[in-house]
Amino acid sequence: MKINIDNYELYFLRYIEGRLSDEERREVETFLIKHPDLKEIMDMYDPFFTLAKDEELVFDDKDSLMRPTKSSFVMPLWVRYASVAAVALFVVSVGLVWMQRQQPTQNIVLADNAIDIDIIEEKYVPMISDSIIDGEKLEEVMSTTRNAMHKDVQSETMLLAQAESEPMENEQSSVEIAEEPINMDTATYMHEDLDEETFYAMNTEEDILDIEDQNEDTDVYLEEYSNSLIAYNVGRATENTMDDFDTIYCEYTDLDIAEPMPLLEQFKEMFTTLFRDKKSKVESDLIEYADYVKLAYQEKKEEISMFITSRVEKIF
Amino acid sequence: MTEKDYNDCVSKYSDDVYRFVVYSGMDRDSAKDIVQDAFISLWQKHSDIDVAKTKSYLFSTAYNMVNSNFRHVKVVKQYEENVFKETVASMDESFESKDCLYKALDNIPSIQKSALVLKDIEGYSYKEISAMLNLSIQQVEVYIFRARVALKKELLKNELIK
Repeated sequence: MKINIDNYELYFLRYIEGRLSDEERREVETFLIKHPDLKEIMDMYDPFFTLAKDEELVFDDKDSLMRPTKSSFVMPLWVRYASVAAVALFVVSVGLVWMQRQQPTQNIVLADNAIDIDIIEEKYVPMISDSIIDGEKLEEVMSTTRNAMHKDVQSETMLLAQAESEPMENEQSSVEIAEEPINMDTATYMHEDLDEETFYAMNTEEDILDIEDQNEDTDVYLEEYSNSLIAYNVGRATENTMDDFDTIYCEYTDLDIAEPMPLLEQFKEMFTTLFRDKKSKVESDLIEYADYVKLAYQEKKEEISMFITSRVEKIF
Repeated sequence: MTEKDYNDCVSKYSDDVYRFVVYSGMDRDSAKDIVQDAFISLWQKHSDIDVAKTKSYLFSTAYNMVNSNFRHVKVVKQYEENVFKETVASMDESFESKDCLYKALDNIPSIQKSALVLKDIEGYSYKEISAMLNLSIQQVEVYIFRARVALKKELLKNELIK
């Protein structure tokens, strides 16, 4: 397409803006010679003669165009405080309900512990008492430990201290506790923290039957729970045994308990770490950990025995 | 496009669109109506429009509204000129330079003014303007050439430039 009377404006614009080839530029110049009247129009076009923005010309009703956004909603302050209070109240309520539910469950299981501990004793104590260290003494400590598990932590410490001075007496008492018969009625009023007489005075026959039914309903759960607790108690028994291991060892070797005993310390440390780590896990892990304790003990038993034997030989 | 994107467009572009409509020859009240209609149209199609293309969509929509408005005004004016010839003939000569510029723009065809505003004030390329105004690039170039020459003639005529 060449420049003509119908399209000259396009060519003029491109000529001024420098967007034509040399040939096209020559065509434009030739065209202007032929049409000198159009030269005035071309001269009138100034690419730098441009419109300026009128800054005062603004649309001053922008709010009428805006749309409400979700993020623009601001929660009133009182609603925020009320929310926090509601959450706190909920947490406290859940905590109280949980504590109320946990407390009786533990009581019942502990009431059954005399039976559970017997199972533990049958299952694990022979392994421990077979130790060549001092079978009789170790069994004695196990009995003491088992006894202690029926009491609170403080009395447990006291009993362990007594075990050193009066081993026979403690053994006797622990056997009595272990063999104490546990029936459902006992468990029920133990659960209620009442003695038998008060319990029956406060409840009708129907009430008692209801409570017994409830206890039976929870038996399935308690069985699972007590299995976990068995594992836990085994761990505690072993841990306490290890504490008394020092005492036995010191008595046997006639050493001061404060004197460093590298292998025993290492062994104790290993167990402590093991217990600490395992205790933080869920109950089901405790069964696995009981087995692990057993294995670990068996593995280390020979090493400890050899160590003690060598020390004994050295001293004597 | 979200509500937030849309509101951002209002903040950033409403002045530009309003100015474009006024420069294109609409009186300020009509220009406000057109800006509002353009943004309503934008929101109605917000789910289909890419955020990057909202500004050109707004100009294009406003331009179409200006054109249709001019067609309507032209009919009304013809009627008014016939009935109230004397009133229309009286002109106020005492205007300041800015008003003179708008007056000069008034004598330029709307499509030329729209193209010139988009080029000079909004800085769009010929290609972008052609897409917005639904014209060929050559048409845009010719309209801008004519608009610039006509505007200079008007200003020279009113002795606002030498």
